[in-house]
Amino acid sequence: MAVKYDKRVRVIFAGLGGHGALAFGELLTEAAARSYKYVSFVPNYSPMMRGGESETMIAASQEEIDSPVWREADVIIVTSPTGFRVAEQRVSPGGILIVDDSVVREKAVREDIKVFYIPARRIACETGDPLTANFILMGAYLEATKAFPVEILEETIESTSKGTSRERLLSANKRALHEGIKLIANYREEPS
Amino acid sequence: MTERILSTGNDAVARAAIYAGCKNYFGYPITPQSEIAHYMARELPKIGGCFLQSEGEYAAAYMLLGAALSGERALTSTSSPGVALMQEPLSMMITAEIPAVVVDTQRLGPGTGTGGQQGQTDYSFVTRGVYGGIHYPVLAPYSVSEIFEFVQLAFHIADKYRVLTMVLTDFILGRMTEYLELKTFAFGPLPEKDWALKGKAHKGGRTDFLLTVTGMMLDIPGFFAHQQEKSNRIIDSETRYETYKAEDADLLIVAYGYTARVSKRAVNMAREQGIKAGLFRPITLWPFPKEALKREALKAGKVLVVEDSPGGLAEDVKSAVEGVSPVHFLGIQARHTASPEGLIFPERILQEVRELL
Repeated sequence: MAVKYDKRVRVIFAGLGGHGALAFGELLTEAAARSYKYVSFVPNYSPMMRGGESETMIAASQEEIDSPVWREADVIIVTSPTGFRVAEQRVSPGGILIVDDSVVREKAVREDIKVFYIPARRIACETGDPLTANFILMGAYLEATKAFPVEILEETIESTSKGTSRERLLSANKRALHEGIKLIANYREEPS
Repeated sequence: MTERILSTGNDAVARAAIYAGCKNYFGYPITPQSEIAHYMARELPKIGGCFLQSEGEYAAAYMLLGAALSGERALTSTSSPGVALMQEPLSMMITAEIPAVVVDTQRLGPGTGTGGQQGQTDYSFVTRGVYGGIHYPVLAPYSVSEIFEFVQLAFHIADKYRVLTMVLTDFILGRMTEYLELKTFAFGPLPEKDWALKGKAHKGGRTDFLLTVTGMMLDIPGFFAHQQEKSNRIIDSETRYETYKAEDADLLIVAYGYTARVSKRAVNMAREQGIKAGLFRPITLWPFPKEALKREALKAGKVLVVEDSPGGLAEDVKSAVEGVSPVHFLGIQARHTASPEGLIFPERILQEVRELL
């Protein structure tokens, strides 16, 4: 499917330190920069390296971006149990919430948004590399929004990890990306 | 063709300094601006420059003084508590008219425990902070590309007037990533640095008494008359601001730094709902664009200051528009606590605008 880059992208990853919110944001920004004239990326995290609230806001547009921070976002990916309720409130009406339900136990109550529960952390642990959980969520994001073709993300992963410590995870990250896409493609609503 | 790259605000500071021909950086690491030092540590040795991590901010600022006194362009960067520690050398540089650039990537509150927190709480401190009673220019960019431009402009202003010049950013601006176009900005001719201490051989063995570096001022009224005349020239020529959709506005938001970006979005959201809001953004915090603000405030009839602090900018705005328009204030208590530390979001500003109109 051809992707049209005329929509405004506005995404938040709300997690805890170590969940990969920063890597998610950096990667998505790099990928977005290949198709959009303007991008912005704001990391916002507490002084704690591990376990503190960590959030990134990513925007992309063909027009100049007025503000790089906002309360409401079209898509929110949440991996923080403590941040879950607030994240749910911050999705724009008609927007998408992607929840790592192997970490977050609560369920969303809003009916005006689309919610996907993806056990990203559990699957990542089972495949042997817990660090790839954020890439499973990236795949889920791609499939749920069709914002970018997977090839653009794969290219970005390759070019940004070359020569860095992330290179070791290159194939695992790509596998995780496709795992996330599959999870959404085969997604079935839980009977309520 | 100019190259367009993705850069953080902090990296943009370092890149801009190098583009402006600055080959000297002295500093001490502090969140949220250590990336500036990282960049300089990596890049300056490649171009024969000097990167030096000092034992503390006080020493870094004195190294800045020494390098600048020799006529070289020099940069230091720090964050709020670091600026406090630099006050003594910086005040001395202002008194002695030694030009250099200081970047303050401001953060909230004191030295420990709040390192990762956003805040705009340095406004009053950096626009009025130094001892000696002499003002210096403070530039306030609101995007990565403006950081890149204004750091270069700061070097120009510094050399043009022989004055310490500061660029004030914040946690959001320093850490955020945006596009910037790599280029050298041309701001016009500069006077020769005939005051620089380059060794006796430089002036054919002639000695001059040009600088009051020791603090022993001989003609005090004359010294201040000179400083006042210089301040007036800076006020006349360097006062900068920008307006956005202010022409027909019924309410004028005044903001700088990241809250100006957020306010711009609030203006756009308001306009979508048929509410005529506009934005006035001071680009120089000193000299403060008093006259322009007064004019715009008179047209709008209502002013709302948005600032992620208990109010520093608000004081300048009040003093500028006194008796012309009521001044409302949306400050640090308007933060949503949604994100790790809480931020002032456009949606909250819009709510305030709706209540005021």
